Amino acid sequence: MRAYILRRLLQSMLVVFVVTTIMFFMFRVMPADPTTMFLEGGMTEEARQVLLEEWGLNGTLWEQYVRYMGNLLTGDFGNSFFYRKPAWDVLWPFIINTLWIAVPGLLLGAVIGSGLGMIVGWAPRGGKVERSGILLATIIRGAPSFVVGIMLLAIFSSWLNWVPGYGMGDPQGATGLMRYLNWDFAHHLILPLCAVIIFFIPENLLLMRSGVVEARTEDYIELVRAKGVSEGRVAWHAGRNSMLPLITWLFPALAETIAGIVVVEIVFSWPGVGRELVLAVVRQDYPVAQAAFFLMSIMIVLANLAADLTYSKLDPRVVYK
Amino acid sequence: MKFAIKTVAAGAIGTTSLLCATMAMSQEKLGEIVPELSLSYYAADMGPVYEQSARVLSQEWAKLGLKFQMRPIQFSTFVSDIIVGGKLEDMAVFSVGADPDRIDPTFYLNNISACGQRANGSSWCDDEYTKMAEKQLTLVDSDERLKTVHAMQERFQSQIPWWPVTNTVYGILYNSDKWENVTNPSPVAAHENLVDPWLAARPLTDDRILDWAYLEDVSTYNPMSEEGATGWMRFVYDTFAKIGADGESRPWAAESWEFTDDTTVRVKLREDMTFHDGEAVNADDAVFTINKIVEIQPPTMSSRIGNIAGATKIDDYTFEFNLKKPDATFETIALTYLFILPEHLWADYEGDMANRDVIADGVAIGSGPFMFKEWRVNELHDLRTHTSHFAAPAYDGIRRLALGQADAIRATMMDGTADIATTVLPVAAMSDLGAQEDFLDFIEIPSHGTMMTWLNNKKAPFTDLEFRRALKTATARQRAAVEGWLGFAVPAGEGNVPRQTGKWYNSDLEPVAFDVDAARKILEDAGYGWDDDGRLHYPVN
Amino acid sequence: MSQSEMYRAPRGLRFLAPMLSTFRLLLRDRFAFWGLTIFALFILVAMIAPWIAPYDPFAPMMTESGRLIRLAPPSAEHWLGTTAFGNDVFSQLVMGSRVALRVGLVAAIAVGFISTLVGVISGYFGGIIDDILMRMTDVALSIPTLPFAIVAVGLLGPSIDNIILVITLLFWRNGARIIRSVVLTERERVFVKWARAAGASHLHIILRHILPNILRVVFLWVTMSVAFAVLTEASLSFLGLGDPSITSWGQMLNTAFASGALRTAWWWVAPPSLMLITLISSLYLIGRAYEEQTNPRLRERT
Repeated sequence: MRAYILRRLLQSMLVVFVVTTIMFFMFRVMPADPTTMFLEGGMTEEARQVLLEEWGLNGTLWEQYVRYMGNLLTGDFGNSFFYRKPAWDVLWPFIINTLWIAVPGLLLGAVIGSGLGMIVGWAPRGGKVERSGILLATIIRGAPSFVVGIMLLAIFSSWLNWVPGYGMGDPQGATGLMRYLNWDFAHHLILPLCAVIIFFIPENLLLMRSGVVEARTEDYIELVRAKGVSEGRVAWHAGRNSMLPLITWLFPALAETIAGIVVVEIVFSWPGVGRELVLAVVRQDYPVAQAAFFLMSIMIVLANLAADLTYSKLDPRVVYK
Repeated sequence: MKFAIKTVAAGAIGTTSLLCATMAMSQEKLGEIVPELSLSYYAADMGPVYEQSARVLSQEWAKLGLKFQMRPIQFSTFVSDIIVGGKLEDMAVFSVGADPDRIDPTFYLNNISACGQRANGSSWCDDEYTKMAEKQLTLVDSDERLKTVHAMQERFQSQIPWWPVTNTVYGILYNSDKWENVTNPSPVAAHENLVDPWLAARPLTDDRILDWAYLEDVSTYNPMSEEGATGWMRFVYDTFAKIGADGESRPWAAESWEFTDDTTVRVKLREDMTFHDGEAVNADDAVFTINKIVEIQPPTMSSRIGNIAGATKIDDYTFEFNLKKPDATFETIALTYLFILPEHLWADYEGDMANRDVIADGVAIGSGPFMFKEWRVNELHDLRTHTSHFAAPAYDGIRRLALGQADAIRATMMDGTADIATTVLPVAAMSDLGAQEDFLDFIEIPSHGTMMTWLNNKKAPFTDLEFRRALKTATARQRAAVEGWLGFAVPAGEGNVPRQTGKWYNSDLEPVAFDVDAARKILEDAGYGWDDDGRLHYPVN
Repeated sequence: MSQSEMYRAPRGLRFLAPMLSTFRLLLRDRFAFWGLTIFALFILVAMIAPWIAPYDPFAPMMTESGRLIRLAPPSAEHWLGTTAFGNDVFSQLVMGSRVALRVGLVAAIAVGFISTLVGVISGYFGGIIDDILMRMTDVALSIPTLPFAIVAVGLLGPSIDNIILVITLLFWRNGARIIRSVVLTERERVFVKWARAAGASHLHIILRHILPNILRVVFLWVTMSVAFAVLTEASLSFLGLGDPSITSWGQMLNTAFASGALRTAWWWVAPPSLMLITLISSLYLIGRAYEEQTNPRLRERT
């Protein structure tokens, strides 16, 4: 077991290293020299050299690469071309903003989705509940998140005028931690959060349903039922055993959400890390784009690792090579 | 997969060229086929009008037997690759904004037209023209300068290296239930460097903060490293002069100025100014700032301060600029751009001044009409009125909301969160809103901002003057204005200087009327021909 | 993978038998039937799109007095109204089906091909080859999907071929894993061992014994890949990274969004949204039925 964990750790580190390397060269191949951004009016050659050095863009590509990886080890992502300050300082507030919609979105989506999945899974096979449940889940699953976002905007913000459809809070709002702990923030949070929840419900629903349907055929369910417990508790037993694949699915899902939430953030003007990544690409602010990318990749690698380890811990049938 | 696509593509190209070759042989008088031309334009991050305009223009050009490959390019890449990077492949359709200092024709005449200029992306280099360009900069005598400027446009018009297509009509949408006296800054886009429309606005309700629905963030409050939001910085840091809509500089922090000789400008400061921390502004601060800037040459400023040798104090409120050589654009370009930093907050700073994080150090302090209050990155900027300023507005502060997209700007205008919008929401949409909603008013700003067609003058077929002439004759300026800009642009004039700059525009230039048949005739007379598919071929040489 | 129990070794020329039987199973599922029908309809529309679309998708609609017909609600001349640029929405919608299906089908076939290749080689040969290929897959799996697509299309330029390329680069990874795991099971089957003992070549074993039995999974993965590809293309186009020379549904929504017309011009926003949902859901319905019908524990006992 310990050897297995160690091996997976080493593998993960290797993966992170390779992804970072690919990203580095990918961004350097981009047809741009960031100093040209500031050169419309004409900049002297010395001034340009100063800027290049400030951004670590001097020297050969190989030298830049070694320097970049070295800095990365010390947690230094370089300076943003656009904001002229460390990329990490730029990014962390956005990461917090993204977590506000990603984490509750995923959790609520999982709870609601798997709850509904249990109902649909326990419903009579071929009945109305099952059929409409599956059909609805599949249709929602087929809706791109920006389409869901646009529809939410159109209905709840534009037509019914219940909630605002942009940004994170009224500009007159509070600052610091207080800005997250007030009604106004919650008011702005509702729509983007709903978009994320809706994104997760169908996947959870279908997974849970398959699990429950499979569990229904297991012998022990018959045993539980034979003991005379209520049908609801039987369903609960069946559902509980279907949790395992769901839990292991959650980690990677969260990582993908944080990366895939870009579109939702753009639709709702939510100042999150995905929107900042798009802006950074447009502005050719590579240190920020690279740092965002790096963090997302790390998250995915760690999530996969966590999923594997949890799975191996929970499911005794997994064999380690 | 990659290989599969490549192979198929290569196969297709091979077949086509083979086909063309056979065709060309069958019609002896045809030369090589004019290849597909790439047409670059601003991608959707600059709004949808460029794609539409490029499409409309290329539809007409296609009637000359040309084929185009549409290439949308993000704004910053466009600037770095095509405008200053010299990587224009064939053609480009894009625009330059109606910045206040571009009412002076130097930007159009020199920066994007003369040999060796960084932003001369169409790579046209004409010695005779460039000599005039250098000369006009030094002609402090306005009449003589005007003559040269007009002569340059004549030379330009005879060579047609690139041409303007439309002049942009900007718009301001504002909440007229809450604000009045939002004035029209025509022919300049609503720019913070102007007094209009910002400082003159008056609140009608208790909401005394002007909320500006905007697209993008500001990158820093250090005016020495700021590039994209020069105007916003000038709300916090006063400039010596402000430019008027007529293109003339008028007094601001400087009460008056005069050229004492060709290379010396004596400036008299106002005596009633204070910094936001209460300290008085005097000549020491101005001289300190100018000399520091000359010393460290901040990269983002280098193009506008290159001709300044330094400054000397005369008395508490008077100092002199020393220039390296005579400069006709000093008043309009440098005086309206340079700012005053408080010496007492900067003199002891040890690090690199151009990179100082002024927010972290608490020194985002100038003498301008607004004081820095808060910046939430990519969300909003909050400035409060500096009430003792000589031009303090009649309201309490201004906020800039970085909303990122058109729909959010529309929503904030509709629900009253924002009071004024100037960009990103297409002007046509602003106009619609102004017409639909009682509480929203729309102001139309005809401007000197220009959408232009650039050509790679170093590459065939654009090296041929007759080809360029034909292309310009087939440029549907009217269609681009109506269909591309939805009526919020006007067909541009001739030459390279916009008509909207007033006296600088040479109105004697012969107009080139849009006429596809005439354009085909020009090509035919120059020896070009068409194959059975209607594709244009070079003359046989 | 327990569903493989259902198939016996293929005999002679009945190479495609498993696929046909799966197809028959599919038609028995009501949802899958609808999914297939809808998908077929989309293909039909895409094929005859130029004949259905009343106007050129980018042609400006003008009144007789030469004014642009902007943001006109649906009418007899313009069934779904016009855009802010005076283009006919219905024509754009119909032509948009071509882009969606072209990207979807080409990318999915490419994805299917690459994932099968990697999955089969990795699963069948095992050892160091498997290790190398699977570490490559791990790397690919840790690349965030949409951010990568944004950066890569931004780098390569927004043409339809580049979008297909990027989608292929992204989605082979999951398929390769799934197919590898199926191949691992197949490899251990008695008849494969017999064939190997009898001295059959690797190629022969793969082509005759492994491939036919995994085709079903490959087909499932290709179906899902069509959905992913359509979704990714739409997202990229919505972000303004679509191919500008052709009209697509994501691009229509992007233009509506950038024009600030989202809240007023429902006739411009709703149709492409509905098309995307319908197309992608129809594919998911097919995919779901596959899983359902081939997993005996999920199948309805009738």
